[in-house]
Amino acid sequence: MTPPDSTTIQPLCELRAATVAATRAPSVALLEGVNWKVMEGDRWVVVSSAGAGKTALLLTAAGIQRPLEGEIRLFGQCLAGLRENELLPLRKQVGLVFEGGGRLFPELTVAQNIALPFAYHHSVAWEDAIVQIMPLLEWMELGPYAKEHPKNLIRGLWPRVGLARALALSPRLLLLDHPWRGADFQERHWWRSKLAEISQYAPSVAAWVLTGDEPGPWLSLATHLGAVHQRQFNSFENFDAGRRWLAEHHLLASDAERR
Amino acid sequence: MDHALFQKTVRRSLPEATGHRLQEAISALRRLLAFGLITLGVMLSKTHVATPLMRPSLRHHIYRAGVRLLPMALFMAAALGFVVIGQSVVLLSRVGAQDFAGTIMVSVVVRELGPLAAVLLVLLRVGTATVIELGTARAMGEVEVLESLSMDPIHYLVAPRMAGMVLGTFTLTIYLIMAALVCGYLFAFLQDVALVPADYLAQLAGSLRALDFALVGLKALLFGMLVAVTTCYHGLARPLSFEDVSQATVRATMQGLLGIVALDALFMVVFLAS
Repeated sequence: MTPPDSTTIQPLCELRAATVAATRAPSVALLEGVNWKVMEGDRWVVVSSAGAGKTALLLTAAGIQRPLEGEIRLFGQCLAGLRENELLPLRKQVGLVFEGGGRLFPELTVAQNIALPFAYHHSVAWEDAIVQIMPLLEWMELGPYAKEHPKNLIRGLWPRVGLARALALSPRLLLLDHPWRGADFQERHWWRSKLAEISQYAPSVAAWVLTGDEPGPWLSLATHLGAVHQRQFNSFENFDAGRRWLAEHHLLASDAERR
Repeated sequence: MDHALFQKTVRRSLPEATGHRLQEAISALRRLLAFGLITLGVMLSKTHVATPLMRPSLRHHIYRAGVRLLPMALFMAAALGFVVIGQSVVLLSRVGAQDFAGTIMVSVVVRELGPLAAVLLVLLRVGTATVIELGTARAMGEVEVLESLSMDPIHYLVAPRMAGMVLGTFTLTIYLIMAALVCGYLFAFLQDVALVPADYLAQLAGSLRALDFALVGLKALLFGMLVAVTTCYHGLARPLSFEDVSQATVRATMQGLLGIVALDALFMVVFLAS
């Protein structure tokens, strides 16, 4: 991961007093008064229970979903009032891995799913785009499945395709929306090791945010801890304080419960 | 009982209900028009965007809405030729006017039934599939994925389908009309109507006016656009869940059908006025 540069103090992503809307019901507020900055070098773990609004939070942070109130800034630029062609270069610097298998395109092969954004934005044919994304495919250990359609792939491997696709455009900010939900211990370990070595294989990534239902496996990689609970976003500088808060709000098993 | 299942439906008087329906129809028409214009704008402004990726997709959708429907279109053409000639020869022979078979074919098949049969084929075979595909893509969150990849969903998902349906309807209309005219003559020949091919062609040429070519071409294009916009709009324009896809398909098919009939009537008015 690129070390923070003292001259660039602009947050990669910033939400100011933002009211985050529900994705399926755009007029319903899920989170209110969200103030959040993701700086270069940050590694955020955001914990929440299912349906609390972490997907909506990430979609809003990526500039895909408009907030009901407040302001979103990507790489120092306010998104309000930007035209599509002004928004596009900003959005291209954010990679998003979706929950529940990464939402792959069923009609495309694994290699095409990963190569799609590269082929589209660089205006090249499938074959050329696939050659370009081959190192990513190999890093994700998906080489043998390159020509398979997602339906022929073990479901547990789908999020890996989603991660490779999100990295295809060399984003600066990577948002991971609980992609390993339902994965076994081995798969979670795989994700942990890949996140640990991301700066080596995807050097463009300057910060990442991951969401999940427990902070445990990821906390050793993180620099910041956040929680989405009861329509509020909370962040903790101190992990022990954060863990206690999560346990008090039943987002984490307390020490007594664990025993 | 305070439950959604037992809630009373709002009772409206007939004029109120008619006004409400009319208001809904106008608002639906406005949304469809806006969606159509947005798509047209995207198609024009992004003609040169990602062409190596979009061209195969466009070819696929043209094949799907045009070439693949050709056998079915030829079958319908044969059926149309048989029905129209079969019915008209019986009537015309009573008054000794069998020689008007060509004129009847132009009035019925070229101006009316040919374009209608072609667009109904596209609506039922490709339009319904389009609503289901796009509705499922919407329900699976593919639109958000495309946006997260900074790709325009209208450009990637809608534009090739729309172009395919418009071109498919246009070409199928031409093939269907030509095949129906040939089949019409064959059935007339089989029914022993004393009509040589040269006379039949002369009748066709005599009955066709320059305006017919313009109106049939325009009709086929507008029919194709109507089906494409209606089906793509209902599949993609609004957030859908899997449960909504079947309803969206029915709504799109019915609106497409009503639109075709209304547009056809409008063409009839223009033709009569000219």
